[in-house]
Amino acid sequence: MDFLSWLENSAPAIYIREDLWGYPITLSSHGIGMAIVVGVVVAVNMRVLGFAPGIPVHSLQKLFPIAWGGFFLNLVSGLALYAAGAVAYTFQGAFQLKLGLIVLGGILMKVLMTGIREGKSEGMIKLISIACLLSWFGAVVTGRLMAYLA
Amino acid sequence: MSPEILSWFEATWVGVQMRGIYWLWPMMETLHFIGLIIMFGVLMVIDLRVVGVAKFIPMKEAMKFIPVALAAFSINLLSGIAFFCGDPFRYAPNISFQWKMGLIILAGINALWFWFGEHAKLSRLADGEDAEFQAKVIAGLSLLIWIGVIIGGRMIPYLEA
Repeated sequence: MDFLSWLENSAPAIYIREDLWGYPITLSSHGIGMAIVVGVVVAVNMRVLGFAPGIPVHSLQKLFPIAWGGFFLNLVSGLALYAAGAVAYTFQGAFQLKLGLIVLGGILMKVLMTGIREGKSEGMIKLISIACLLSWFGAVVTGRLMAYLA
Repeated sequence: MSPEILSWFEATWVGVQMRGIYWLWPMMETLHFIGLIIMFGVLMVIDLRVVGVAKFIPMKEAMKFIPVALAAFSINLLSGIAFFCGDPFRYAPNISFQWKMGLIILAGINALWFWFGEHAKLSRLADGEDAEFQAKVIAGLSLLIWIGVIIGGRMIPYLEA
């Protein structure tokens, strides 16, 4: 708790809360990063689920550096937003669920690509893909709902 | 827009529902975000292929994502209209909202330029072949304009008149 208060009163946290442009700039960055990360996830999983079969599935791995770029942007902007409201966010159910879903979505993406490389059955691959998509969609939904749920 | 027109939007059935059902607004916002990520994701496939970053994607396959982008845009157009009807006097004078709408129109013109000026030529490209310069400019603009749209939307609550 002491740590969370310290975090909330750190210089970047105060800047984000109190400067006119603090929240809009950080939130805009977070929105762009989200579009990039989840956008790549959507595109890859659409292909895995059978859309645009002319694209070799494994070739889409080349989009991952772009997704990581978006992820990094959201890690930085997310940490800044978290610092600005650390005490409230830490105990917020929607926020906890969002973090869990991002971790799960990341793991499932890894499991998916490994499964494809190792030639797992198509049914299994599609099941993982759907779970992966749902995790990331869930992260977006819970993130959006953080503004509404205490 | 005149107050009469805004009042008309406000009085629509959609507007009344948006204000009357407490969970409808957050649900529509969630839907607006889902539409956003699907649209931006498929646009990345198309535009990054044309720009040349993702030349490993066969152009014909990339073009299959165009209807998906249109479907996702429709989700956001409809949910967007619902927001506007829900609170027209807030949105209409909002500078960030005005910028966002302007950018969407610009993105639409850019998309028409792509469809009528480049689509046929691009569809004939061989796998891994570079698109012509003009097509790359359009695709690059598309990504930049839509990023601008995201920023414009995200800034609406912070730039109230």
